[in-house]
Amino acid sequence: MTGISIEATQKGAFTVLSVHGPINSYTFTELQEKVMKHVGKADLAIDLSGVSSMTSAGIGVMLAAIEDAEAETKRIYIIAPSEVARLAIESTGFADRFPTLSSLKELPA
Amino acid sequence: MHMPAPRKRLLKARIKIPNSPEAVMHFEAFVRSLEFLSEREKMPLLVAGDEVVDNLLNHGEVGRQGIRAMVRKRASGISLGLFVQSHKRFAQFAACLDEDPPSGPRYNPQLRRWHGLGLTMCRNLARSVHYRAGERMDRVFLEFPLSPVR
Repeated sequence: MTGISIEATQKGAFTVLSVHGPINSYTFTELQEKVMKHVGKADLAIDLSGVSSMTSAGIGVMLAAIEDAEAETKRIYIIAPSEVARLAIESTGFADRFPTLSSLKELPA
Repeated sequence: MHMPAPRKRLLKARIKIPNSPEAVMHFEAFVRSLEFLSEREKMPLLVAGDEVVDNLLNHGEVGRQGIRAMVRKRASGISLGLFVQSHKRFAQFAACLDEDPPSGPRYNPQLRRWHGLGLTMCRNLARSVHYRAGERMDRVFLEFPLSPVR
């Protein structure tokens, strides 16, 4: 299996996208489509706790989403990135661009 | 009485990864299975190695032989070698890195794409990253420091 699964739910004002599986060149378009559908239109939380791997293809999607959300003055958070996802984000050298929360419970109202 | 010195355990493993969309997952399973690496040591190999394998598959030309991966642990550090059938696109990329290495990732707003992000990630995770084109095989070598025992 090479695919990812992305589930969209609502938590207060936030649309929560829960991502499971690997994010790489073969799977990132699915993530991109889901993110683009919601980003800038609603506050968005992307739960990366179930991500098994993440290459720069996935990082690029996250960065574009953060840019788009900020441009539309919508809130966006990365939630509980798995160890590999966290390391991938840190390895870019600009982890401070990723607003990260350790759990969905920390989402503001 | 002369006692022969005990032979050092060879901390080395290899795998042949098929040229398929599952290649990244094969590589991950390989790294996760390495008993001579701590969980902490596996993480940078997974992230940087995934990046290189992903790029070889999507921007290079992986031949029928697929990708060969080798991991070796020594007192000086951990080496990851990735080998693919030689291809001119790889040689061009390797030459670019030697002659005019990018200073960092760049965003292309027209394409909405980042360039050089994966290489930056690898360079930040590994002690060294080398792309070497060869006549028969192209090679990528990454060196990682050992993780201190906690």
